[in-house]
Parts: sequence; structure tokens; C-alpha cells
Amino acid sequence: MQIIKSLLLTTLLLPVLAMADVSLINTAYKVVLVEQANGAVTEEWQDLGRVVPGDTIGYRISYKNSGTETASDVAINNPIPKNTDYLANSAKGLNSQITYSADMGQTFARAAELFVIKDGKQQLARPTDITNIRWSLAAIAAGAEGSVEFKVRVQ
Amino acid sequence: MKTLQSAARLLTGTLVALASSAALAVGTPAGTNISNTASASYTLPGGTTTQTKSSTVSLTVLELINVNVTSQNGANVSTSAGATDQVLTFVVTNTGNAVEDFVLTLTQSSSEEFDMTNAKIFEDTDGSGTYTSGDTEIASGTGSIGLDANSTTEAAATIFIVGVTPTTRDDSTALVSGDLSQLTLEAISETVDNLGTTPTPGQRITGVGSGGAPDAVVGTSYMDDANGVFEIGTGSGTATINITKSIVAVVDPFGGSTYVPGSTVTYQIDVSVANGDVDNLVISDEIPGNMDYVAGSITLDGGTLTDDSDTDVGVFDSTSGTSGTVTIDLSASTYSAGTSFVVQLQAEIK
Repeated sequence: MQIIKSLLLTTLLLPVLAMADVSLINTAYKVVLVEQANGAVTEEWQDLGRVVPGDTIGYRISYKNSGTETASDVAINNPIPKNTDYLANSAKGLNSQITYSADMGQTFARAAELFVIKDGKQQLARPTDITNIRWSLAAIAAGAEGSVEFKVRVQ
Repeated sequence: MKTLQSAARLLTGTLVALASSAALAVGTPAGTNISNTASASYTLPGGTTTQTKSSTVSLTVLELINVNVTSQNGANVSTSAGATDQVLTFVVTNTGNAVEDFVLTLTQSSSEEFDMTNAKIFEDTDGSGTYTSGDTEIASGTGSIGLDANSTTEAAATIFIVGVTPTTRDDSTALVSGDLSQLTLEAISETVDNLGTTPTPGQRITGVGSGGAPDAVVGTSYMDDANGVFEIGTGSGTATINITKSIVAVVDPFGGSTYVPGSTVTYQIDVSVANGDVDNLVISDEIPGNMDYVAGSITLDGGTLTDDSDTDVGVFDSTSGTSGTVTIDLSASTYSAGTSFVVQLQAEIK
């Protein structure tokens, strides 16, 4: 029985990998505000040097479909790391619909429709309540790549 | 320090649950690993759903060095000349994210009227909240205290500055009410202190992180200080008034000196000022219930004063007290140490 199952999986997976193969690379950056020569302050995503409480960390998740077919109904999922708080409105991603979870990824909703129960009352979730972010993309064509990102503050 | 931290860790675990509202002053403890993995699910042509994961990206939170010193003295602390064990209270809090030692230094401002003598720093080691003999002296400028930012009980320490109020001002003149002495308690991270140079906030000091973090980062408040002020009080001011009252003569109706009804008693009140200036000096003496004041008998330093409330400073008010009260009002002037007055008045035994 066991052998048959493994064989079945193998035969199913092999042609599958050739059709659409999405891979993810997750990179963390230190987000700093840098004052330019002209006085304007711009945000820079720098290499992670040192991180201390209060610092802002940016995570960029690069995706690529190295298969030969389109991957559809793609959902990229990222939990908010422990000891960090999600920064409001920092999740971005081209051609993606972003939803959030405040219950460790069991349910997702848009930020404006995400509620939590606090002290017995239903309240709109605050950024610190958010536990997971999901970027939903309709499709990633064969050979296509892109990235989504979000920022957190180290507690 | 290791021991302190492990003990503190244990404590934190139990205490956080109890005192969840008493938020720690710190953020993520130094050495904490923050890891993050993204995952994706997608549908293949043909309808099969599959999943993929990114590699895990992780980072270690470094030690952040910050300290906060606050004065617990709501206002100037009232003192008086020569008073011992005069106490200013401060709280030093490790607002970083690890165990750190802080060197304490006491300085006295030279711009106020007086400096405290024998001023020392003590840590409230017995946790009583007040200075006691059980507290430990911290040598100013070299002694340090260890604080664990991640502990509810070890993150802050109560520190006392204890000194003796001098008997005169710095310029040897007498202390007067309102004179001030300002003292400053400074705490600086020992890690930064050992650096020997003035760091810039954000500077990374390698190899010295605690709590498992490889390095420490200098925070914006790697040193902090707070002031406390002693003030010579009005109530317990430096100046003292010595008053002695004595009977200097008794004349009985028969020409003798016995105390019988009809005897006239001459009282003398000696008043002297010591240890500073006094304002609003008023001497009053209530005539005993079984005596009658002898009209016109008040003298000040030998000069007679009238009983009426008029231009001179002496008044007899027959409505005050049982048998009336003699008042010598010297409030118009300030009298310095060494000034003395002799008041005499007479009363007759009923």
C-alpha cells in the first residue's frame, strides 16, 4: 500500500514540475530613512547590518515561475515574524490582492474588513493584531517573475 | 551577568503572566532570532494545487544600550543646616534590551549657595524604597549597577544620594531659607564607558553584546542624568531661636519675696538668634490664668513699651488667653545670628 502511494505521488509530481514551477526567495532588508543632499528624505532598503528594537525591517519575497506553463490562483503567504509588528499599509505587490489575518492564518480579509474581538467587543484589527499577510495573484505566467513586500518594526 | 540573566529569564516567564499590564521598558531581548519564511500555493493546469516555500531568512537582534534616570523628588527636598542623612531619590532604568552595567556618578552644581558634604551614592539594595543602613554604597564614577532590561524586577533600581547639609554657605556666610544645593546623578553604560571615546548613537560595538547577541549598539540614551535639589526650608530652616523664660524678681505685699496673692512677679524672656537669619520674629507670652498683668510693665532691652497697639512693638491684649497676652512684634526686620533680646514684664498673683 505504502509503495503504491509513493509511486503514485512520484508519477503525479514529475510531469507537474515540468509544467509550472513557482519558487520563492525571501530577503530581509533594514529600512532606513536617508536624507538626501537636496534635503528630501527617502526610504532605503539596505543590507541587514545591525538590528535593534525599534528598527524597521523590510521583507521582499521574490517569486518566479520557472516552469513551462502558467501557475494560477497563486497565494503567497507570510506570517508576521515573532517579536515584530506589521507596519500599517506596508504590504505591497503588483497585480495582487492583499488580505490579512489576525488569527494565525485561519481566516483572511482586507484590512478594512478585518475584525478582532477585544474585551468582548468586535473591533477593527490594528496593525499590531495582524499575524499573516496573503498576496493573491490570479496567475504567474511561465517564466514570469516579480516580488511582493512588507515591513515590520522590531519590538 | 550570565547568572543574573538566567535568573531573570525564569522570573520573566512567571511574572509576565501576572503583570501583563506592567509593560517592560524594553523591546525584543538581545540575541533573539527573528526568522521568516514565505510560502505560496498555486494551481497547476489541470487543477492540482501545489505548494512551495522560500528559504528561511533570519536575523539576530543585537543588544541596544539605553538608560533612563529620573528624579523621584517631586519638588526641592527641604533640609536644614547641619542635618545628616539627607536623601535625594532617583530611579535608574535599563531601557535597552539586555543585561547591562551602568556606572553612576554624582556631581554637585557650583552655582547654588551650598554644596552637600560627604555626599554619596547608595543603591536601595534592601528594596525598602527609603534610605536605610542596609543599602549599598556605589562609589561615584567607578561603581556600577547591573540591570536586566528584560526582567520586570531587575530592570530598574532605586538610587539614593545621601549627604550632610553644611552649617554655612560655600562662601562661609550663614544659610538662609531658600538656599539651594543641586546634585546630579548620571548613569552611563559601562560598555560605552569602557570604549573611552564618545560614541555616536547607532554605533556598533563588536564583541560586547550580552544576552547572546554578538554585538551591542549604542542607543540614543546610552547615558542619562537627573537633578535633585536640597532647599533650606522655612519650617526647618537653618536659623534657630533660643528662648528662656525666668523669674527675676518677686515682691510680695509685705515687702518680702514670697509667692502669695498680691505678689508681683517680674518675668524675663531671653531671646537669641543662632545659625542664620530670621524673619517675622514675634515673641508672645500668655499671662497665666491665676495672675493679672501689671499695666505698662513691658520692657524690651530695658526700654519701656506701651501696652497699646501703636508705634512701638509691644502690645498687651487683654482679650487673648485667660488673662491676656503680651506680644513683642519684631517682624519688621531681619535678625542675623548672634542678635539677642531681653523682654521683661510683670504680673500679679490673684
